[in-house]
Amino acid sequence: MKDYWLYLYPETFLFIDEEKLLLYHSRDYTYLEVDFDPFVNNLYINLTDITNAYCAKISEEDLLVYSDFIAKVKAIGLGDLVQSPIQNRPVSYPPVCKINTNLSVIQDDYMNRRAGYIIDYLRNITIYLTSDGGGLTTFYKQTIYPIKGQNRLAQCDLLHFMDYLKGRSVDINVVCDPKHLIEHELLFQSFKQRHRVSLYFLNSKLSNTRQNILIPDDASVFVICNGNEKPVQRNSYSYIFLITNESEFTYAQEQASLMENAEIVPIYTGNNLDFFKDNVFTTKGELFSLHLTKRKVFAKQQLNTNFFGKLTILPSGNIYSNLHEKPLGTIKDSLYEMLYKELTDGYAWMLTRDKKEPCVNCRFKFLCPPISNYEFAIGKFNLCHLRGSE
Amino acid sequence: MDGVAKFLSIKPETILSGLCRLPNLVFEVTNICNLSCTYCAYSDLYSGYDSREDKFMHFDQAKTVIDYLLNIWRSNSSLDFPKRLNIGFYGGEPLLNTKLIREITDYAEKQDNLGRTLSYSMTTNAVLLDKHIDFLVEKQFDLLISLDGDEYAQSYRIDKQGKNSFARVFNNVKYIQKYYPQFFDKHVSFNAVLHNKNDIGPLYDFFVGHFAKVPLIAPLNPDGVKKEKACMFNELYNDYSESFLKVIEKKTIEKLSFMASPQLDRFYRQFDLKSGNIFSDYRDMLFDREKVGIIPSGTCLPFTKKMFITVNGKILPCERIDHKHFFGVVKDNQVMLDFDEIARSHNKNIFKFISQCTSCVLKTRCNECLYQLNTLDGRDDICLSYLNDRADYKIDLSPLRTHPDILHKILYELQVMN
Repeated sequence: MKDYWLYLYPETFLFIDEEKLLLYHSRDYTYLEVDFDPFVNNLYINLTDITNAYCAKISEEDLLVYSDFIAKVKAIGLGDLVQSPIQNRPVSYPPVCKINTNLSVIQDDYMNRRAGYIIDYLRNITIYLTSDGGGLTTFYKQTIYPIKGQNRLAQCDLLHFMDYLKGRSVDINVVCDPKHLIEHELLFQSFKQRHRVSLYFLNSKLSNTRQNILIPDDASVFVICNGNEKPVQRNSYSYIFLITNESEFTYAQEQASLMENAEIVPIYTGNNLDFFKDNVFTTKGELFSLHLTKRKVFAKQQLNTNFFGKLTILPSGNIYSNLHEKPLGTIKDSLYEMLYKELTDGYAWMLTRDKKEPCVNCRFKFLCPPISNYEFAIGKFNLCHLRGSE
Repeated sequence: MDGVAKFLSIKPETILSGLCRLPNLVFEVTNICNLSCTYCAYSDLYSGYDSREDKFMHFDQAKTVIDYLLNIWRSNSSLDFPKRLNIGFYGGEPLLNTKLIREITDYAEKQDNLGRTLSYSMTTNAVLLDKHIDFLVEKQFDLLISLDGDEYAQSYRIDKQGKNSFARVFNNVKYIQKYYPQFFDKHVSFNAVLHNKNDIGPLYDFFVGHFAKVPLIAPLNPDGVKKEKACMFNELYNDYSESFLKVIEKKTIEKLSFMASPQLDRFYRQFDLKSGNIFSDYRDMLFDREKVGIIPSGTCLPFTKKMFITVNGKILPCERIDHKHFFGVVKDNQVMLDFDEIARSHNKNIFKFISQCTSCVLKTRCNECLYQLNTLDGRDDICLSYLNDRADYKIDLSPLRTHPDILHKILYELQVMN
């Protein structure tokens, strides 16, 4: 009786669901799927037992039955099959991620009042200074977009809040009516040379503003254009075209092709799911053209790369990590407590696909794009064509 | 990785940022020692340190440093976020200057706006431990006691009369173990120097048997040995790997500390460096570091880990580097740190091997401290850790056959502080 050993390379990820086993190589970006059966189940159990060093013994009978699968594993470069006595069996290691300062360390530090540096995780704050942008009611929950209402953030509260960021640098997005910029000169002075500032204006507000607007030094300007609007052209500005249907998509593509910096962002209106199915939902082809490295797959297993490190402050003073959920607190609360809450029991930063149905049971969950605002706006988490989820 | 890596230099603001989050402030409270250990880093065996004229640091000097840092912390960092500050005491033998140690702890504790949880630590030869133990227990000092094993093994650690310090040290440690058992359990650890009069096996037997503690064991440091003392150094030197080979019950020691085994320690280091499975924190997962930018070498950013003040008032980033690399001085009740000059000089040092760094496969995970590399006599033109071959980048996986539990230990059990 000869001993055969199948082992996988350290770059090969192994994912399983009730249908198939998926092997994905995170350097060559190749993959292989095999139907789930008792042999595959047993193989998965053996390979994922960390003491087996990513290696499984294969019987001569199984070798005959599964020769096609094993040949493909070798041909695609996912692993290898060798014959050897047990003392010389091959050894490898699985792509299992370890984070030294993980959540349990953060929790331990918090309990012992040592967790000061969780502020380092904060990298982006979107501040809605005013809520008289005249925008549509819910767009701000999908992308940066002026909010409707009467509230205004008190400058003194905001300046006090920004004290938390002393000695640090974060990206700050400011959303307001351009005519109100002048009222916040002090705030922009406090940002100067410390934070990278981006200003977001509605195209319609910009075109209606007759006086010269005072853009702070070094700030970038993003102009948000709805549908088929003609953008106010400035060489140094970047443009965001919000689209809800095919005709707006075509128009936005034409406009964007004429500009140096332009982005097209789909918006869900409640009535355009088919448009999203055709243009936004993920297909298998798209998924495997993403060329996900080991680090990128690990990131999808550990955190939400869309949301991680980001907070939004609304004109009411409420602070959110996820605008579809409850606020973490207000501008007058402790930023430290809010960040700790978000990291350990929050709504967005650590929201991985294994925490939401039906993705939790899908073999593609750690390859798919992270959960975004679209999933919350549409009300379903599998925005894909991967497993008959249409 | 595709494309060419981007290398970043540090800015004067980086120095300020390091000071804002300084986790360890270490004072060399005296350079006087009550022992004359044959292999001491400050002995005639080594170069690279200021000459050891008997000196005690004075409170004014320490207070000047604390006040300087307080001023920086109050102006530049948010006090609302809890932080730690460990104040360490170094020597010489620090217990020879307990007056200053008490003054420093008192002063630090009186600062209402410190914004930091204080802790204290000390490396001591334990000769005076019985005299000061109440104070050390009260302040919950973390003590690292230097002890080389049994009486024969301790015979390089002699007092000024040439008498072996073993009996005094052993009795003092036993006294603490007996009368302060909780403190001993939580706050006392041991550091043994490996030399030609001890070995790893007997050291484990000694420390586990007498104190139920796993010692840190380090061989003599070969860096900075004076050329004329090479013979003496070679005679004293005991190679760690060779000493471990002599251990009969290797599995027992590996169970206590797998990194005590040179083979498993090497595997862990290679795995940490090369597997791509280990990250220091969540931010590391978000970006491709080569594209975002790498600060060359593994040298710590100034003051992000430590500030060390010598008894002569030199300010260094660490006590383990040549004193010629001082960043500033404490003089005439003033701290003189020129951030522009520190950044300029630090950049010059970390870019020293940049032509090698560019093609080195370890560039994002380098462990080399340039300030330590520079002390290698005659070898300061090349980096000895340089690897440009993917084949060299591979991990020797053979320990996985003999130690099937090692991956589990590394990935799920080992706690590593960043």
